[in-house]
Amino acid sequence: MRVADGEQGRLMTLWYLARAAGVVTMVMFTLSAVLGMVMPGVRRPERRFWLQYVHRSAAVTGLVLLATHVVAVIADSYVDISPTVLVWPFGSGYRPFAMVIGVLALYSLVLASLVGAARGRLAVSQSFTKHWRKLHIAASVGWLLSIGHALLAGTDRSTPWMLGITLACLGAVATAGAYRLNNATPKTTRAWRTQ
Amino acid sequence: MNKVEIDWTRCDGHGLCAGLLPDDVVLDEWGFPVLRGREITAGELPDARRAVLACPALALRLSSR
Repeated sequence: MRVADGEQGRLMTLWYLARAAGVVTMVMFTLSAVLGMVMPGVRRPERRFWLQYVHRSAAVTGLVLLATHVVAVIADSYVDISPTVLVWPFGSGYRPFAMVIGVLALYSLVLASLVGAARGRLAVSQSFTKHWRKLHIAASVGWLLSIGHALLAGTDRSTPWMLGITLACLGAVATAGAYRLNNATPKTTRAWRTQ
Repeated sequence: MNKVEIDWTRCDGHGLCAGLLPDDVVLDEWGFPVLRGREITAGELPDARRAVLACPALALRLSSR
């Protein structure tokens, strides 16, 4: 770690903020994804309501931290990332491929959040209610891309603790996915099987 | 004039609406909602909106007619 003096110190603070926000963003979206995946297995209305509440809160917290991560990484001058990466990540001076993955993750997550924010308002629309689940898949795509981004970009990506966090996130969602596939079988089908 | 409505093609009987709007929705013996058909008063509107947001199947809606 460099000794923080004056200008240099302030700039490094932004870089540390960007890294920290990125890691916690991934953890928050993982929490949200895990809760979203186990939800269909929860039949008790009250428990389901609270799980839903934490699912949404984690997602919103993740979005705020994602915005922090993006702003800090652009504002910071330690690495060469200009605002244009948001539309053309291929031209990034810093790990272009990782930037492409990260920007695609950002797009997916922003799309998912817009759809989520509109959910209550558009509940009256037939076509929205029909396509809501398909649109919400953007969140899963964004999550997966953010894991890819975490493995490809960042100063800490190959340190044991960062690799541990990323793999733990991946494992948590894989476990939740397996649980869902096991548990979310429609009741009628299960009744059929036991007959 | 606000009322809650249920889209029966979507309702899966999760039962969250009955917990959030006990004065307007009760559950039948299979856990599916039965509407009391009351007006939603201005004071109840936030709760009704919350219930619409909470429905996992997007089957509950608020109509203003």
